[in-house]
Amino acid sequence: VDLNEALREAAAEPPPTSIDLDALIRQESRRERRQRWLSGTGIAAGVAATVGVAAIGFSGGALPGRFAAGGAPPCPVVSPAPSGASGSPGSASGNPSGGASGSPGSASGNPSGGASGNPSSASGKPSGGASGSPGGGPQATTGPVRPRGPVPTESCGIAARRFNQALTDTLHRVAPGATLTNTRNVRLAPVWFERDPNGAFIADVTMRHGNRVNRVYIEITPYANAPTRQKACGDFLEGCTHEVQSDGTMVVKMATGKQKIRMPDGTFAQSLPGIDLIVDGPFGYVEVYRPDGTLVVASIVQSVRRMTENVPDNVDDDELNIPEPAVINADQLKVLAQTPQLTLFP
Amino acid sequence: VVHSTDTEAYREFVSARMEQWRRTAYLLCGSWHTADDLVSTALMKLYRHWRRVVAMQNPEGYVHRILLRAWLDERRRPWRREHVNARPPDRAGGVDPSSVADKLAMLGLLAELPPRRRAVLVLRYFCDLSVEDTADVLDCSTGTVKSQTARALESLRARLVGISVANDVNHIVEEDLWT
Repeated sequence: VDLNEALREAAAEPPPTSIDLDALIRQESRRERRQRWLSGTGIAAGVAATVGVAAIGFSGGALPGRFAAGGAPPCPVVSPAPSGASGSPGSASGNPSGGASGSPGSASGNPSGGASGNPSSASGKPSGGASGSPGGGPQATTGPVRPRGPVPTESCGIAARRFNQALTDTLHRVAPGATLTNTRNVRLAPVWFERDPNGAFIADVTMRHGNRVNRVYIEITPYANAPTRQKACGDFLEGCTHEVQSDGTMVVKMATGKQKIRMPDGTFAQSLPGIDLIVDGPFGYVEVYRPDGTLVVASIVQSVRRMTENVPDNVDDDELNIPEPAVINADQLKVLAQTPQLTLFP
Repeated sequence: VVHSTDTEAYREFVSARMEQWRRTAYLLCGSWHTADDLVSTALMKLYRHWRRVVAMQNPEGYVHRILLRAWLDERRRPWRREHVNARPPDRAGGVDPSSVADKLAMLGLLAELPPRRRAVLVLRYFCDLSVEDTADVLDCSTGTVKSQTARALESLRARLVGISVANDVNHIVEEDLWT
């Protein structure tokens, strides 16, 4: 007997493994995809800081300031970091610009006479954008690569206001009594859509109801081709539903489950004192592909509290994170994402 | 981003080596359950960095490194601090030669070693890594590997008094000191 042999003997006849490689790959793919998507805000912010806002226009590459000069509301763009910007802080209505002329709700109620309700209408669909980069944004730099799609023609500022109003209304409808705050900057209106350098509108809202806290993230962007189920669900078909509705809208919904999500920018932790940076809680994710070329991505992260005191022996690390009850569930998230006014082509 | 073709390569790479990694982890931690946890952690990290790992000259070394770090991290958790309870039976004159080959006895001997010495032995005599590769995994110099090996083997020898294994160990110690 030598040492090599003794070691081999000692590790001989292992029991069947508890490692499920397929499950591990699925879990990691899911984590990677969501983390990449969640960090989009941070990446976009970095890009915005680098390239400045001058390159960002909605149609025709106009500057945000030129929207204002032309009478339209300014185009809110992703800021590098919560900056304590002026804005209209704490507006319960979510109207970011102090509601200058007319209610955005009235303008957006159904501006196109039901075109958004029937997005398969050919006339409602703008011509495909050859450039694929709405407003000629700085696609070539860095940041998340988004599918190319038709180019919206609506003014960025008007679209943002319309989205703000629509999402605020829907949030109040699906979660009456919940308090809304802006996750990225509490001094801004709770629901505040901003353009990122790739042309996507994003909003990041924290919902509180009693001691329940959720973070809701909405992204609205053009797309060219709806993915197949295989592609939409990626490597984790299990727990992923793919539904094509009668009007042609495709809805992809990921089952909620306990996932480890580390927020790269830490915004969630910063805005929610007492909650650990590592968010390890149930998660909901919905993608809505409208036939008019609008993709709405909605995600919700459920907050957790991490047990740090009186930790009993032999407690698994995962068990230290105690999920808080959710404010809204995945089905309600789907309702949010399907808000008719959340379209780039009203 | 790991694409489907990468995933297949990853699956192939892992499937071919997972049993060996489990055994390595088991020799480090002494529990098959914990070994599976360690390997799972290593597999996750491997997946996350797969594209970078495949470009490495020695991807297995990378796995050994994350496996080892996962084990060291695991040991640092307060409620998982290791309590040596797999001591080999105390008998006059040390361990009975007949029980040396016994798995529990071997694990007990390993468990008595400080972590890095245990790691050195496992890497060198179970994984058959060279001194250089072991130093790479442990992120230390080759001299440290040699001295740690010598001390680990000395410790084993102290437990294995007057038995054949001790002779083998003696040979190894001498070889190590001269290489």
